[in-house]
Amino acid sequence: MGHSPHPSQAAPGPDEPFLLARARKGDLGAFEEVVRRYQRRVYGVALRIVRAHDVADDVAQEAFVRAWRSLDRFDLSRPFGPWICRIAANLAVNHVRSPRAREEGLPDGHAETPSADPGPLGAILDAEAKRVLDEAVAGLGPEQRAVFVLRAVEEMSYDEIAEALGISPGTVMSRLFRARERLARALAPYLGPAAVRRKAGTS
Amino acid sequence: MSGHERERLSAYLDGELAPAERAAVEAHLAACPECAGFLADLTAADRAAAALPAEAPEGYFDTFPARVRARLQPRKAASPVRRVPAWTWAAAAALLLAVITPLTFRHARPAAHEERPPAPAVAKTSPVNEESSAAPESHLPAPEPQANVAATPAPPPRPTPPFAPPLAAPLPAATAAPASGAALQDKKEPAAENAFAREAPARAARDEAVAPGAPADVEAKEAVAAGVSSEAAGSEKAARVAPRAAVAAPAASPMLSAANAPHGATAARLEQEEDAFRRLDAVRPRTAEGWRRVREQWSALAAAESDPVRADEARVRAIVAAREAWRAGGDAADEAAFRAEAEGYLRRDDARQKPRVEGLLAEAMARPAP
Repeated sequence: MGHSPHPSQAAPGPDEPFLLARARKGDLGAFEEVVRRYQRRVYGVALRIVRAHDVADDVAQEAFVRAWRSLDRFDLSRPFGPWICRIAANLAVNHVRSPRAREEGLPDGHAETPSADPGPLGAILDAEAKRVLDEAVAGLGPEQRAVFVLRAVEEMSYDEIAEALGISPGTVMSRLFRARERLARALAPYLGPAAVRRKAGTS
Repeated sequence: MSGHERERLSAYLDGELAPAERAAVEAHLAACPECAGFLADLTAADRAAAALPAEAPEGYFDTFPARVRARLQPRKAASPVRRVPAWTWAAAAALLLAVITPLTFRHARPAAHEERPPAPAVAKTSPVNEESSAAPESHLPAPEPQANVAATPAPPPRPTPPFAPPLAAPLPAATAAPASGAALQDKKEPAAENAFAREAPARAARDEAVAPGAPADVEAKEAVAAGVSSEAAGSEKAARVAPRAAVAAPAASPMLSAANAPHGATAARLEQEEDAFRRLDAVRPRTAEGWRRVREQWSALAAAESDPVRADEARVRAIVAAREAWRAGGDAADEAAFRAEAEGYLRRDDARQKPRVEGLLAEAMARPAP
């Protein structure tokens, strides 16, 4: 609702169906170009869920390898982005849930430190708010985080998220709500009237 | 509003409520500033969290596509040619050999004479052959005839195919057999593996030269595919001399279309071009010089393509190869060639992939070669 499209969701090139049809014929170079176009988005989904670069790298690579193997089953008339993101999200959640990942404590690892470049968020939140929010995201369970990422970043429907993660739409709804409530609570001091008061007080 | 009703606000935000529920929530929101504020907070949290950076280390995305590619097994979509039973290919390969061998000998002398001038250039510039010591290994009896097959206006065993390509059917027909061997291996048909098994070791050796990115434990079929690709490079000879030949159709084309009987000549030719495309696609040189050759081959292939869509893709591949040459060597001349190639493409009225090429140019601007 009223979201501006995330930069990673740039419209696919008009030549995308052509590239995918080429890839389906076995054209590695065409698929490489598809990878080039979607790598940031897929890596972003993976990193937001697993929160560690090495794992996100594994997940992103694996997502493309599986997509390549399943291209025959992919309906070329549909957009590739949601499909590859679903694959990546599913892999990411499975990875985070695996016993090995839990032993290594990967879900609690922190993502890259926010960049100095304020970007679109800079207008809304200062560095401290970003840190608080990032911690709140890290504090979500992997399942909650996956649902949240697929909705808030990838803007998928509940049905799509349910299909991607193998859960019911009702579960999607409740997980999403709990995730949002938690993030909103963490952010409350930086939002709305509270933020105005806070800024006035500090400056 | 209770927690449960708040949960509906979250779904409302996503447009996931049934119309009646949505109306109820809207009515409540109009009367309850607290819930309206909560909805605003949820929205802000969504936006803020989605905008948190998810950045990879510097340079990560420069190499990611190639790393993915190195993990991919060549796969082939179901297509008419590949549904031909394994024994057909073995038989076709045997026939090819039987047909080509005498042809080659018969024409070896005049052809060799005729091509003496360009020969040194070929030897000097052939990319993968240069990098792989096994280059002359061939299904043909002598090293040179590989070019001759394509270049010589050989009286074919059957009438000249109606689809005789104007330039290179970029691959000598003799390489068609191993290509199909790879296809069959993909389908795990043991007969085909046996038929081509004796060629595997030499190919595996070339694999090293052709596909540096391939992991050490690649399966045999990748080795075969790589072997095929090095032959694609070998066929550069054919591509180079072909324009001077009156008839460039590979002598064995009729054999291919015979194996492909239910399909017309056009389909056979398109399939052949597809194979040529795929084999060139599998060539991954390590040196700038190798990429320069690959670039030329893509240009030649684009010029010879009968399918405009594939021709377009081949032109883009020439640009990509030019960029790889520049990346591999850091040479300013290669950079200029890359830019010229890309800009030339963008000026074409029939260019179908301008965004992609613009992307390549923008990427090059943002990140100069090492």
